Amino acid sequence: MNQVEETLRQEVAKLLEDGTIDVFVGHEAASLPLKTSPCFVRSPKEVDRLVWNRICTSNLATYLPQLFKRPVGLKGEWTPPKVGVVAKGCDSRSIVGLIKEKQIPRDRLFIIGVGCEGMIDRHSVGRALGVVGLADAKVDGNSVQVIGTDGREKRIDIADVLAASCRECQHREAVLSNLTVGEAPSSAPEVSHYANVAEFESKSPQERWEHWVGELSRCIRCYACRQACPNCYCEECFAEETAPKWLGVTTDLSDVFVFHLGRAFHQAGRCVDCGACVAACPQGIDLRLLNQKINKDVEELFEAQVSLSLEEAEALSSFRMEDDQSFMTEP
Amino acid sequence: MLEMTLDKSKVQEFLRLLGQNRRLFAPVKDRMGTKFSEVADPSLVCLDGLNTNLSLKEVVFPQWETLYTFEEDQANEVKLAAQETLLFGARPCDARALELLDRVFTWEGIDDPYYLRRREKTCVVALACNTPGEACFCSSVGGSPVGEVGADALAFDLGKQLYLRALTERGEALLKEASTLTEKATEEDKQAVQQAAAEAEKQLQPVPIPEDLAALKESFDAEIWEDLGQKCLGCGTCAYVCPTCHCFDITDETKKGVGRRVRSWDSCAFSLFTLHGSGHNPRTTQAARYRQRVLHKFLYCPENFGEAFCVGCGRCITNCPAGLDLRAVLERLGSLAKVT
Repeated sequence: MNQVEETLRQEVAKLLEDGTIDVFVGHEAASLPLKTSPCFVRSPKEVDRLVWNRICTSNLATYLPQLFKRPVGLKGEWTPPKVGVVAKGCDSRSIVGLIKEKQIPRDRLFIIGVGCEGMIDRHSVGRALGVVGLADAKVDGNSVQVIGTDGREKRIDIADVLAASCRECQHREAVLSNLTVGEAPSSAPEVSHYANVAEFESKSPQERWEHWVGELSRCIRCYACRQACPNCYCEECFAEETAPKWLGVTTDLSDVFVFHLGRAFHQAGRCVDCGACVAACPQGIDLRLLNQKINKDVEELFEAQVSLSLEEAEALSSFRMEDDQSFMTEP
Repeated sequence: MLEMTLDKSKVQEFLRLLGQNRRLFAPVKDRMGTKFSEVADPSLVCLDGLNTNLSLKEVVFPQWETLYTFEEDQANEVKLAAQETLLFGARPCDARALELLDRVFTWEGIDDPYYLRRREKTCVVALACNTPGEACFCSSVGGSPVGEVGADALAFDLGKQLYLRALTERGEALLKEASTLTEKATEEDKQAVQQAAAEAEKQLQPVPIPEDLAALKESFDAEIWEDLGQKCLGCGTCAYVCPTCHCFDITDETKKGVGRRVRSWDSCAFSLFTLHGSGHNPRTTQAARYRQRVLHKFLYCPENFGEAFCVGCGRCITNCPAGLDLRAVLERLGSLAKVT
């Protein structure tokens, strides 16, 4: 057990014991190698379920709004629970966003911030293995020892299988927390910010179109991207509205494009580039590129990054006289 | 039944020959491992992967299809034609899943013509598994890595050659078409196959499957569902990668009086799955929706069809973005059943 994990468990046990929180949302080991599962701890006796490692990929902010919803059908008084959560930089920014959008109450949240060196992308490990599955894996310092289902062993540098969003991450510590555990992360981002977008922007419109036709023709409309995204909390998604009906139910390119472009626009000025959509996609579609393009535009137009603090107004939900207005046209 | 061997250097030629008069589907390399795909060029076929990332149900039960088109009060039927199709290199679990889907789409004597038109033209050559994949548990749910159910022929990878055994008349006719490329299997080949089969079955870890249906029924209000439901993100990944999930929705798409009626896959994990026109939703929580998925497979299907609708391919496990593992769920359900 690492030091962070040990301290985390101790702190959570204390918080549950003294009644500061009713439930703690963290990560626990899943049955497959290099996979974790979100975990809801309600008693100090259960804190040993909690883990902290290089595969705590899920953005736990996604799980918070549901905890503050009044149970359907419940009659009488109901007090929302006091919720603890462990947050990487990206989780914490999503939490800031959700608080500002009034989906979760700050005063009933206890955030334990943990510095993050970046998480392993299981899809990248899969690609390193080729067509065989992952039978076993052991993270050891800066590398991971993997065994394929064909019995072959391989040592992979974690740097080579880091999630793409982690490679570019500029906020490796929680931007909002009640308590931090562990030391500040040491390594700085190794890839320049928006490198993927810059490369994409250099392509011709035809190439860009072909890229997205290729990517989105893989989509199976399972909505894993949407469900894993902390920003996608709408009770009714535009993709499923029937009056008006914005798009059809098929995997025709027109339907799939409307869904993904619509979702990307709904993320404008809100996406913290946590990479949850990419990690969740069973088809390995790089949806991040769409959101990062919009993030880049927001940053260039308004000199602002998304959800860095509770106090500062978000670029697309505030107005300043000096804001860029070049997009406006004369009537 | 016909038993023959095919030198692996001749697999491409074999597939080219059989693909002349029919559509050929086989595993090809993909960024997610392998995918089952229509192949025009047999050199792309990859038989080294285990389970393809998506199942092959798409071939007989496409993600969406138009049932008919309409214009004002005039309905136009869609022609129910399908081409002869060969599914080569399907794993035994996927082949078995087709047999289970057959039961749904012919249930109580009501045939689904949209499904059957494709299914009836489909010939399946399954490829036995020498080693299990990362989340395989076929032998625990009544299947086998060398299972024959649902397949017209079964192949074994013996290293330098493929051993092929016809299982149905259709399979035999298919293999005969390529008889110039194959040789009669020797006693030695047959022994090698037996050995490979025993080896493969030995490698699978058994998963306890709750078979006491009365106890499963009792689990309806158990706490386990709340516990699992809070993890479940409510996406449709498990259902869409599952070879036996078969729920669908029917939607009319209309534009200025012209439209089409479309059938498309649906998933019980979606919150809209059971939403009524009135606004009432009988499954209000993700816990209830997750329970439906598990009990449909392991309680309602055994009641309706005599078998659980799970072939142990493990796709729902490897692909679940929340790290939920059906094997662990079944184990917990089983211990629950023992207590009650």
